This record gives sequence, C-alpha cells and structure tokens, in this order.
Amino acid sequence: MKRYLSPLITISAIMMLCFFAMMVFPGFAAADDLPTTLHLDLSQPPQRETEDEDLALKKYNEVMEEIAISAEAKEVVEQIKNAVEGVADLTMDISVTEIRGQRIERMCFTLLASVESKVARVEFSEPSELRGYILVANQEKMESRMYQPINNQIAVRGLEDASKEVLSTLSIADLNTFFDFSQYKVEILEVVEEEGVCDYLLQVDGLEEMLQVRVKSNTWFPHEIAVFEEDALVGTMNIGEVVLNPGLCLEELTDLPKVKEVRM
Amino acid sequence: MGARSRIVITICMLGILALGPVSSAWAFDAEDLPFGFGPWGWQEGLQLSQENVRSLGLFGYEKTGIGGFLTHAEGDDQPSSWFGGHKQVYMGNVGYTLELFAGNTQRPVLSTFLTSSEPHFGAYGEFNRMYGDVGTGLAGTAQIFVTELGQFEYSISPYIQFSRQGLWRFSLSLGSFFGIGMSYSEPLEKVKLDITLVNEGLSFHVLFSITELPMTLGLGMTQEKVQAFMRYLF
Repeated sequence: MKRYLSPLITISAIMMLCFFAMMVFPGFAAADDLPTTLHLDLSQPPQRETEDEDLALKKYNEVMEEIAISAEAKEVVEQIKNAVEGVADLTMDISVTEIRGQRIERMCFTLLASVESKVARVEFSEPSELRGYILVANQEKMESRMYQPINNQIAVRGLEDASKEVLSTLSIADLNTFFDFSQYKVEILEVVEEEGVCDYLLQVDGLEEMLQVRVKSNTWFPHEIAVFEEDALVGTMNIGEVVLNPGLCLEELTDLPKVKEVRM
Repeated sequence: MGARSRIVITICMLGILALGPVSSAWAFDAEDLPFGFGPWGWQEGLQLSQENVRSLGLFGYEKTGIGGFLTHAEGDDQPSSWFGGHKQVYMGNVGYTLELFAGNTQRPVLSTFLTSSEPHFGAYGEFNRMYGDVGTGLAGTAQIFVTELGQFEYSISPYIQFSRQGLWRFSLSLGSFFGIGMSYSEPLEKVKLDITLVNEGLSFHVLFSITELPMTLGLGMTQEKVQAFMRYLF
C-alpha cells in the first residue's frame, strides 16, 4: 500500500506545483493570449496573487496532511528533534553494519564533534584493518588529518576534493538536523514499555529507502537505525554511550600523535 | 540535505568514507647530492627520485616511483650506481611493497649507505600488517649477479614492529645468509637507526635529518669499515 502511496504523493505534489505555477504565472498556460503592451499598476497591492497564494498554500497543506503523521508520531519526532537541537558538542560510540550480498561489513568508531569549532574526531576501533586510525576533520579549515598506524604518519588532505554529498553528510555545523525527521512520513510501528521507559520503533518512509528508528523516551536520542531498500535490510547504525554537551575543547578534538605529517 | 539522506549515506556508503572522497594523484620528485667518506676515500654523486601518490579513499594510498643514484669514489675506477622502481600500497593497516632494482652496490641501507657488490638485478617485496600498536610483516629479496658464475642470493625476513615513541622493528634474516636486525625511526623521522648482525658481522647505521636545513647526516659502520655521509636535498 505504502509503495503505491509514495508515487501517488509525488504525482500529487507535482500536480500541485504545476497548478501553483499556472496560477502564479498564467502566461505559461496561454502564451498566445498575452497582450502586446504590458501595463503595470503598482499603486495597488496584488490582491489576486495573494488570494492565489493562499489557495496554493491551502492545497499544499491538504497534500501535506495526506502524508501527515499521527499526533503520537509527531510528538516523538518533535522530541527527537528537541533532544539534538542546541547541542554544542557530543561524544558517542557508533557501530555501522552494512550488508553487501553475502558479506556483512562492520565498522565501529567513537565520534567526538563540536558544532562551534566545526571539528569532528573519529577514532576507529573496528575492523582490525582500521584499528588505531584517527581522523580529525576540520570543516572550517576544510582539511582532514588522518593518523595512520601502519606507517606512523599523519596524512593531511584538503576536503575540497570530497564530493558535496560527503561534505553535507559529514557537516558538523548541521549536526542538529541529523535526526530531524519532521519532513518525512513517520509511523510508530511498535512501543515497548519497560520500567517506565518507552522504546519506540519508528518507520520513516522515503521513495527509495525506508528507515526504521529505535528511540527511548528517557533520552529521545535514536539508538538504532536500520535502512531497508525494497523491504531488504541494507544496513544498521547502532549508537551508544551518547554524551551531549561534554564541553570538548579544540585541543582535545585535534590532538594527534606527534609524528611526521605528509601533505597529500 | 535531509536527515534521512544523511543517515542513508552514512550507513549505505561506508565505501564513500573508505574509497570515495579522494582519488587524485600527486607527484613528488626529489634530488639530493650525497657526499661521503669511507674506506674508498671521498665520494660524491647525485640521487634522483620521482614518485606518484594516488589516494585510495581516506584510509589508503598507492605510491609508484622510480629512483636511483650514481656516485663516484676517488679510489675507484667505476662509478657506483643503484636504480629501482617501486610500488607501495597502504590500505588501512595492511600494506605491501614491490620493488625491482639493478646496480653494482647493495640495496642502500636507510636509502643512503652503500656497500659495493658485483653487478646484479633483483626484486624486493614486503607485506606488513598492524594491529593497533603492534604489527607483523614479511620481507623478501632475491638477486642474481651478472657474473660468469651467475650467483643467486635470496633472503626472507619475518619481522615484528611496535609503534611506541617511534617505529621499532625487529627482524630475522633467513636464506643465503642468517642474521638478526633492529631498526628504529623516531616519530618525526628525524633520527633513523639500523643495526644488523649478519654472519657474525655487525653493521650499524644512523641517519639524522636537520630540521632547519634541507640536509641529512649519516654515520655507518659495516664490519669495522666506517663511512660518513652528508646529503643535501634540493
């Protein structure tokens, strides 16, 4: 059902956009009817346009209501958003598992990030091929420094070569929006209450991928996120040991072994 | 970019972190003038190297290069030379090196110290892996001498290395010769040390890089023969 709903919503949205465009720019619909001379009366406010905009907004809200989430889901989404909003810095342990056919790849690391200094530090612990690697990404300097135990050196690279997608994903400045699901259709699949704490399982729908997010009501910080593609599990991200606003200083974030630096 | 897209990229595209962000190449070339003094008297020459570095994502890179030197000693009719081409790949905590070489001196210790030998060509290979601060590896050399006898030499050297206030490596040398060795590289690679004991002959080499000047100074002793080097990089 959801599979049919998503294209339907998209088509509705496209139709609404076309409708909105035709209302705002009527010339698009009938260019032949345009007068040869154009007179602009700027003395009066454009009443008709405001009415049109109101109508378009009304239609837009109607469409949005179709994909709107339940009051309970909306509250959970809001709580998650609020939990991350205004965070200056944080530390957490992250474990990412990706399923590639028959292979399951796992990566574990500790993330330390500061929104103010726009610096993220990633300390890798798994797989063993990456154990001991430390990455310090400085978004302000657009530079990454990677400590490499294999040759006991630090590789310094500019972030200019990184793709926009990666930069946007790793953007420390937008940390607050990482768990903002308010733009998506969210459904509560399961609620398990244990010792007064509710563990919610949310489903965040998208056109291609679907997320399942687990969040507890005592922290409102997602602790497990699973990605599904066409109902098949693609990967999971587990988050633990989350400390918000631990007061990280820049020196702590950028501290690397005093070894030879190689600028790439 | 929305929250959903960012999470999907984080989970589904570990490959982006591992392989995606950069894959451009950089070229390095270096020239230096080695001046030395040893059992053969004064020696001077020219050393050249050219290397391309290609990034393999965030966690790896590949170096491909050629290098060599030509030196002349005052007490020797023929110049000494050694040339080689190499490929070195690091991917996370795993690395390997392949090198093909030819020359009439042995593979220079710490890329500087020379020991004359018969003209030969050969290959060097190395595989190493780190597990945090500790690592293991295996290096091997095979060389054929361009002489009437066509002598063949080889060595296999398993080693263990530690990363504590620098890089320490302890190795065994098996094959045509038996030996043990130890090398150390200071964290900033300003001091490098190499000690080997092969067939009861002790070798000791140390190399200092001077921070303020583009210069390295070296002192070596091979079976009671001392040699000193100064390399000026330009």
